[in-house]
Order: sequence, then structure tokens, then C-alpha cells
Amino acid sequence: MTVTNNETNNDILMINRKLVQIVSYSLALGLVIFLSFSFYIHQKMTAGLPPGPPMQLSRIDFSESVDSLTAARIKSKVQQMESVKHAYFNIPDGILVFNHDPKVLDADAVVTDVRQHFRANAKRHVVDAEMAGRGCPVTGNNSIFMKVGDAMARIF
Amino acid sequence: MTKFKLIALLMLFALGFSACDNDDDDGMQVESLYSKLGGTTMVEDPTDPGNMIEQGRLGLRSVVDSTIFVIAADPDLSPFFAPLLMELGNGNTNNLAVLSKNLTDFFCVATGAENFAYNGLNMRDAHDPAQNPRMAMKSSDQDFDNFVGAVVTGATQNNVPTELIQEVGELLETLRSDVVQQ
Ligand code: HEM
Repeated sequence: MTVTNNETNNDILMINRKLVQIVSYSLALGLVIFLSFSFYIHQKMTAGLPPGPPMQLSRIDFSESVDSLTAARIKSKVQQMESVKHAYFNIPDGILVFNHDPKVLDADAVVTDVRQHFRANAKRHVVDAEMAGRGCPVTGNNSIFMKVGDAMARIF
Repeated sequence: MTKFKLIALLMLFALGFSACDNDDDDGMQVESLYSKLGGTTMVEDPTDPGNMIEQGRLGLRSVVDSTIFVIAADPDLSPFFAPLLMELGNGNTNNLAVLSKNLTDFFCVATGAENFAYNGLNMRDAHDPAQNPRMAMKSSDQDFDNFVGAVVTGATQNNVPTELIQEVGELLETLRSDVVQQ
């Protein structure tokens, strides 16, 4: 009787150990697949990026009409700011777009500067997530794959 | 003697044919838009010092990159590109690089470049929100006109001669029925 009980206990222990082993292996395998996939997506999405620092594209909207001379002066001033590579002023609609390195130049600071210098009624236009829709759940920048891939790229 | 005559006759024929061939080629050869834009002449890539790029591709890439600024500053066109513009507003240029490359490849191939291939979506799928979630909504004829206007502005900024801009416009026009889905 005791022998049978012991055997049963041993069997249960064995099965438990096997189960734990299977679960751990599956988890480890899952993690490896997840990390590899994240790394792959990240590599694919960041391949062929232009060299240099990451550039931000910012937009400033002017609520009153801006004449072409003032527009040219505003554009030239912004273009001379540090890290700005290119700027475009849509005069009829009063919209200025420029790219810059966000670590060097803050877009809100540019707006403040332009408002003060040109006494212009200007504000920053930001496209929010609602306007942009949800974006792609896999390759979108807020996707878990892109976030994990980003972290891995920083490590390696 | 007869053998010699036969060989001479064959040679004459061959000469005549090849001469005709050349004449035909010269008459038929039409310079591609890509060649007119600079073609395969290698020049230094200003954004990637030390690396060379075909002049035609550099020209088209510059037009594409300028056009993206024009689109971003256009209140009618920019909503179509909302996902991209949101990323750019957050300093993430990954998808911009992909779009810039795809658009440049597309323009290169469409204008007659031989050393590049376009691997993106076809024009119908690229502009169908059901196939391409990055296309925020279907576009109309007016949106198409605005887009062509943005490309023309981008080309003008890069000093592309007017007659070539005209040719680019005509090329884009052939895609209207695929792009406009409203
Ligand atoms: C003849 C004119 C046009 C051409 C040659 C063209 C070409 C292209 C190409 C090559 C792509 C990339 C596809 C891919 O990545 O697989 C694209 C994407 C796109 N196009 Fe067009 N297009 C044209 C007109 C338009 C118009 C009229 C609109 C809207 C008003 C538009 C909106 C878009 C959008 C929103 C995307 C996706 C951008 C992204 O990836 O974030 N396109 N187009």
C-alpha cells in the first residue's frame, strides 16, 4: 500500500517536474521568438534611414494673413536656427513647416521666438493620435515590437 | 570564284542590315525623362558625404523630399498623411525614410531609370485605405490635383526646368484613375 502511494507521489512529482520543464521551455522559446520578431521589425523599419540625428518635422500656424515679405523673413530666421535643415512657408494658408533636431531645438521655443520677433499670432500645430488613427499595430512606433526593438537596438 | 561571290554577297547583306539597324535605332531613340533629369551620371550625395548617387535619382529624391514639406504645410493634403505627420512631429522619421525611398524608387522607374526597382504597393492598393492603413481616406480628383500641385512646387524649389515639370505632370496624370478612388 505504502509502496503504491509512494509510487503515485513519485509519478505526480515526475509529471509536475515535466510540466514545469515544458512550461519553462515554452516560455523561453516564446521570449526568443518575440525578441527576434521585435528585432526584425525594428531593423526592417529603420533600414535605410538618412544619416545624422533624428529630425523632427514641426508646423506653425499663423492665424492672421502673413505678407510674402514677412513670410520670407520668418522663414529665413527659422532656417538660421541651429539644426534646422529645411523650411517651407505656405503663404496663402499661413503655415510654416521646418525640420530640426529636437534635442538641439525645441519646437515650442521656435514658436515663442517667432511670436515675439514678428508680433505674429502663431501657434504650434500638432497632429495627435486621434487625427492619425491608431496606426499600424505591428510597425507603428508605439507598437510593442517597435518599442522592444528600439530597446534592443540601444543595447546591441 | 562562285564561293567568293557568295561570301561577298552575304557580307554586303550583313553590312546593309546592320547599317539599317543603326539608322532605325538613332531615329527611334527617345531620351528618357530620367536622362533629362541627369540620368546615370554619378555625383556626390550631399546628404551622405563620400557616397555617390545617380544624378537623376538625386534630382527626383530632392523633389520628393521637398514635396513632403509642401504636403505637410497644405491644410487639404496633410490630413491624408496624418499617421506619418504625427510620427514626424514626435521626431520619428522611420516611415518618412521608407516613403521617401518608395516614392523616389517609383519616380525613378516611372521616368525610365534602369538601375532601380520599385518594391512598394501598386498605385491602386497604396491609395486604398482598406489595403494601406497609412492612407487615412480615399482621395478625390481635387485631392489629386492638389497632390500634383505639391509635386510641381517641390520640383520648382529644386530648379527643375519648366518643360520637364510639365512632363512629370503628364506622367502623374496617367495614374489618376488608380489613385482617385472616390
Ligand atoms: C500620381 C500621384 C501619386 C503617386 C505617384 C503616388 C505615389 C505613392 C507611393 C509610391 C506611395 C508609397 C506606397 C508604399 O509605401 O508601398 C504612396 C503612399 C501614399 N500616398 Fe500617394 N501617390 C500619388 C497621389 C496621392 C494622392 C492624391 C494622395 C492623397 C491626397 C496620396 C496619399 C498617399 C498616402 C497617405 C500614402 C501613405 C503614406 C505613408 O506611408 O505614410 N497619394 N503614394
